[in-house]
Amino acid sequence: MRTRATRVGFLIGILIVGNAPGIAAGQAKPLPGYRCMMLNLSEQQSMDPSKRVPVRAAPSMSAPRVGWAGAVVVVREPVTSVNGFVQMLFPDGRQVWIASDMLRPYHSLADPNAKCIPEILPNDRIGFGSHG
Amino acid sequence: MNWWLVAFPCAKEVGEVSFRRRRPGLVALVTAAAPGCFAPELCISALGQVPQTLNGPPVQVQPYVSEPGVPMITIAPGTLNTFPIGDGSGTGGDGAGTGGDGSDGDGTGAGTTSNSEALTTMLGTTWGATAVANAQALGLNPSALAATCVIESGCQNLSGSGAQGVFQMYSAAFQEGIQTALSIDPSLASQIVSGDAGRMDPVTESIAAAGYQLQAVDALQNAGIANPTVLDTRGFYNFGPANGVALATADPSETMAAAMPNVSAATLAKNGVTPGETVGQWQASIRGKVGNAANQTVLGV
Repeated sequence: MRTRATRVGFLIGILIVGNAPGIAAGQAKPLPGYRCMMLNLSEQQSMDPSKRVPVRAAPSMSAPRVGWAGAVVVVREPVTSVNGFVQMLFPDGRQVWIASDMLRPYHSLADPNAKCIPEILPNDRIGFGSHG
Repeated sequence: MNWWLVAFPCAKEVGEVSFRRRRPGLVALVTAAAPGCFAPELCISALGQVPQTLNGPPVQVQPYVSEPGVPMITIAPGTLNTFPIGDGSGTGGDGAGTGGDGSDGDGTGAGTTSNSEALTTMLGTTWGATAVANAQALGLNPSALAATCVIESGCQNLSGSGAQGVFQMYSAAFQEGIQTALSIDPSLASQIVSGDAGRMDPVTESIAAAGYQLQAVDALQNAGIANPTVLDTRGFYNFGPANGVALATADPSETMAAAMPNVSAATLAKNGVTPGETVGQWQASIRGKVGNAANQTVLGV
């Protein structure tokens, strides 16, 4: 009897826990209104530890530097340049600005069919994937 | 199979798990199906639990009547655990197959510092304890430093024409790392073997490696990656700052080729990345080498 009850509990566990809403917590969320671009760097530059592309707090060369950009950049859509700068989302969610001549359309050298769709990762970082 | 990962935190929430019984997986799952998890919000709250690190002994019962024959034992409060044991990366330990697999993202950016298999390996060397002390002096999680030596050399002092030592550092990176470390803690200079020969001295190179790891953390934080993990810094080391940030913000299902669009297939192959390999698979390969240190934050203690 105890064995039967255990088996029933096992099945209930699969049915209930397997459909619990907590599972969705591990999935990325889409980020509408943004698109991927990439840094306008050569392969060698992209792997160079000393090569950094600055991002700024405002669309101006005199604006404070906030940090550095990653190889893939999430920019607001439609992409518009303000004073030579494009607004982008930092991985921590801040709105920052990057020089437009440092960007080019997303295109993977190693996989021309690769997709890049901005999303909010389960750890709350602004990131990207192929599903959106 | 996600329900396995959900089941065990819930089981812990119920607080009545008998993991050591004859059929641990079954018992754990049945327990998960019992009261706590019938209410989904309780499951969610259980998942939201944050691992806590015990610093010092727990609150002690202060007996006011001594038991005959039992000596009085006094535990001084505030004695810190040297290596707090914790589990911030979703490891199992119940025999039922839980644990991060690279696609469910359990510790991405929110990991903890704790003991690890990598730390055990490093502490098994003659210089390991000193390296741990130095890492702590620099504010580095010792497990993160240990993960580097495990992945680079298995913590063996290897010589070569290029990279050398237990951390397999090149000369330029070694010198940069030493400078960074000494700028934070000048007292470490007394332990350093001067010149390039220091690369073959494990304690000296551990200081350099710790400094270099701090540089990686600084670069990633300046790119908006708060609390970088060991996995995040591996991307930085292998592919540079810009690609390291991209890897740290890529969905695990994204391919390595898609996550680093500036990098050619030939360069990916040179770095051991196979065509079609996903970021999650690459992360899993690192986890396979360094174990539960992979998801731990680099800064800590």
